Amino acid sequence: MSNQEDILDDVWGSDSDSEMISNENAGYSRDLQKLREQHNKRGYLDGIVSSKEVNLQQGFNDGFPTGAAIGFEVGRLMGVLQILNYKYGKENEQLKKDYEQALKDLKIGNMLSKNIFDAEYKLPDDGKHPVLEEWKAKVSAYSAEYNILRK
Amino acid sequence: MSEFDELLNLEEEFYKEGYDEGHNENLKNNFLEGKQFGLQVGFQRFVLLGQMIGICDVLDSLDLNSSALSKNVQSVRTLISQVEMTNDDENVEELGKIMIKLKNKFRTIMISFQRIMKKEKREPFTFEVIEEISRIIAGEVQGFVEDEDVTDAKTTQDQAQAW
Repeated sequence: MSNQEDILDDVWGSDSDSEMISNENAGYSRDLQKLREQHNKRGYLDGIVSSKEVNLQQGFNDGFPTGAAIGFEVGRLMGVLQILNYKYGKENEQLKKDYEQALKDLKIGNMLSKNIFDAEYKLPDDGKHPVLEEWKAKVSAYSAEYNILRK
Repeated sequence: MSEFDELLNLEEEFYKEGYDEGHNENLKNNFLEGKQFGLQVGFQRFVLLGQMIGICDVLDSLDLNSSALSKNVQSVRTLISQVEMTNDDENVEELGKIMIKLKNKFRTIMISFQRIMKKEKREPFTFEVIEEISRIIAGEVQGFVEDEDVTDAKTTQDQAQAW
């Protein structure tokens, strides 16, 4: 819950002071400020734990199609690599190596890592997943080599 | 209005102000928490379908000379083209039904493929081998649990590290 503390720091940070300073009565301003802090904080704490479930489902539905598209594409790449490796891996050392590397690189933990998505869980601006793009290019090269057509 | 009333009003106003900030923050956090989980489940549900399509592309491109196999590959493509990538209730139910048909078809495809490859004397490339790759890539598949601690519902070491 260290995260929670950061949020609280932010909310009661210095920017809320400005409107108080203009008050002629400095003593009253301090009291008022104190009163505000106290009740604002009480409200904030009630607000932050309110209606926990409200947006969970909406968020889920928002993330699902993106996850599905990435998962599908990862699957397609793995499918092509797996069967090509089965058929040609013995004679093509690089293909075998790439297949084994893909099994590590394309795992869910790497593909949905926080390093790739921004704070709002969006892909970079171009909407492209960098690791996925890298592997799409590699697999395309193998598809060309072995005359695999994508239908 | 007495000073006392005025004070009470102020207290209430400040409370409300704080409450709104907290509430908005909460909504945002919940949305992101749900989104993270949606990304994960979406990914998990579609990996195997993608594998099937990738393998179908290769099978169609290899000259295997088996009309039975080609026919089954075509059925798999048709079934997969019916799948929607959203989380509507009807789609989820539909995906469950299609998945059963797909797995059966694909088992048959891999058995045919196995027969064709037999002369190469290799370890078998079965549907189970394909599912095993799916498990390695996607972790154990889980449904959407309506639990406030959704991010704690982890299944593999990888996910635990990632989230």
